[in-house]
Amino acid sequence: MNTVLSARNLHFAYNGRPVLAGISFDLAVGEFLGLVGPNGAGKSTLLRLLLGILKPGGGEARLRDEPLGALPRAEVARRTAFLPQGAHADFAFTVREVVAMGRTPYLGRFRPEGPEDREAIRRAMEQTETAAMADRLVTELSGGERQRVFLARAFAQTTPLLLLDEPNANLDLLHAFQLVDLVQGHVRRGAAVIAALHDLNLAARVCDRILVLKDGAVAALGPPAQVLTTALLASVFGVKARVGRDEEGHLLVSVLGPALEAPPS
Amino acid sequence: MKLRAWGILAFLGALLVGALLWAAVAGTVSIPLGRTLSIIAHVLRFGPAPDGPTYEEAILLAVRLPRVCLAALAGGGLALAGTVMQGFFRNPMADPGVVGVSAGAALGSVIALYAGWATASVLWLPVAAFAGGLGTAFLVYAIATSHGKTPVSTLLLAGIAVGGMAVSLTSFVLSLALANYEIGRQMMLWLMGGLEGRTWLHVRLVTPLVLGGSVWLCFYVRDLNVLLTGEESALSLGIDVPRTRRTLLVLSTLVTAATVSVAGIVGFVGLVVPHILRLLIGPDHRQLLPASFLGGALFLVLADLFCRTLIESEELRLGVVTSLVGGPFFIYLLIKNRRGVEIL
Repeated sequence: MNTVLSARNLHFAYNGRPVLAGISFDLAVGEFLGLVGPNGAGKSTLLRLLLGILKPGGGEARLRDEPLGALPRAEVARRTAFLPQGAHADFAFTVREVVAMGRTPYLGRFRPEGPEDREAIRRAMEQTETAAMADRLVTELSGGERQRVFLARAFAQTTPLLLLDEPNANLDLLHAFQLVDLVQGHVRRGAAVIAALHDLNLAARVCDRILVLKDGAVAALGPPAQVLTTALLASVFGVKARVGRDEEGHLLVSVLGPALEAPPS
Repeated sequence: MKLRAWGILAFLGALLVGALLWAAVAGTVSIPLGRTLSIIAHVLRFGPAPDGPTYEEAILLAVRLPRVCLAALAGGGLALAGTVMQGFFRNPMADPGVVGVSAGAALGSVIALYAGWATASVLWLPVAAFAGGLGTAFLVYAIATSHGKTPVSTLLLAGIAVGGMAVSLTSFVLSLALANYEIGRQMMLWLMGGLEGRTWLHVRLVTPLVLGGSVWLCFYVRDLNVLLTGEESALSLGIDVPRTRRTLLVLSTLVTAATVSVAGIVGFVGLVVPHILRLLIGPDHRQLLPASFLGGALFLVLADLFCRTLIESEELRLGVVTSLVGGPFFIYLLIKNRRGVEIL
């Protein structure tokens, strides 16, 4: 079995308040896992546990059979890349400089970029269609372009696993679509991806499986068509919704209004 | 872009060499360049004993050169520490004194002067200033740290609070000392910054700290670049952020405390030099850190030269000159380049 990541019974509490309880799942090579759930369900916390930025209060995550907690930071960064929600770009680095930062975990304090690093940077810019703006300043880019540059930085990390936290949060429709398209390309090349997503229709369209979080626990985990049901939308999101298919056969979730009965808490 | 940055770096280096020579030549007694060079060459065992009046040799070697060297070291250290602090805090307003180093050093020095230690040995004043600066910085750091975490905003606020208290205590000691004219005068002069009367002893005292600390900080250029893109972003690129932050803070505080201990309070070097250079060569610390050191050294060597040649007494203080030159220039940058100064 080609498991990139496995989470076993992850628990996390913040100031004594439980945020995540008993999260378990496996992620295979070339799999796109969507993380959905209402605000405060623990999506961001789960991503940070999987990155090793937060330490779980119980359970463990394993990267290719090695416990995450035992790996040094740089080693984690050689295995997992991350696209944060709004990466800061209030500094006048060039696009290439930002993408080159993706090689940080491979470079020692004194070792400059080698041919391998330059190749990874070049390929990452090509894959994200950012090569043409290599010399522009990130401060001068639009939000969509900037997000693509930070995606390129994550690609340049050449990790088997990529985590994304609401990559589309502030993007318009076109740029949101382009970004997800680039991530799908990355998945086709064999990477495993976990993305926290707001847009259920988008999640249904691009994800192989969807993990639904509610109050810090897994409410459902499976292929989009099995998971996104009217019953689940009512109980997890508290909305009355219709789940159908569009002309091309994609799952289509239409929210009609608040659920009639209060969701069980 | 990169070529330009390295070009500016080389240009700054050349300017600094020129300024150092000029500062060695010029003064109350002007020593011709050729003679200055031959005296230096002789001391470094490269050349024969120079002829000419020996008092020139004495002035150059015992008075002028240590002062010029200290100006370069202090300016370089302050500007480099300022660049690190601004990157570290991701705040263009941060200067080397932001965690209370300058205020603490001032307190340490007035206490040393008031208690009369400073008359016992010339080393007491810098040592007390250094201890005061470092002590204050660690107090600030301890206040702002809980559960192994040091939030940036808490650190800045603690710096303001403790720094403010140190300034008040300094005023208190100062007013106690005013009864004794000479001691009060010395305190005021120290607080205005200056390099007169410094010896090779002072140079030997601060060189390892300032140069060593600066070189060590230059090992962290890549970490500083990545830290600029945010804490989580840096973590996800494999940087041990808490440990890196601690190292950067300790080193830049050491460098600042060492410079303040010999030069007194010299404002604006750590603020204006990094800003000018960031506009010229961009935010990449690989070029920015060495450029800051060179630029700061250049600025302070020239400012000190200005101090001792324009008025031939102690009336024009180094800290006054740097602020009067740095302040307006900084305002000019703000007005001319409103966006550019915002951007780190």
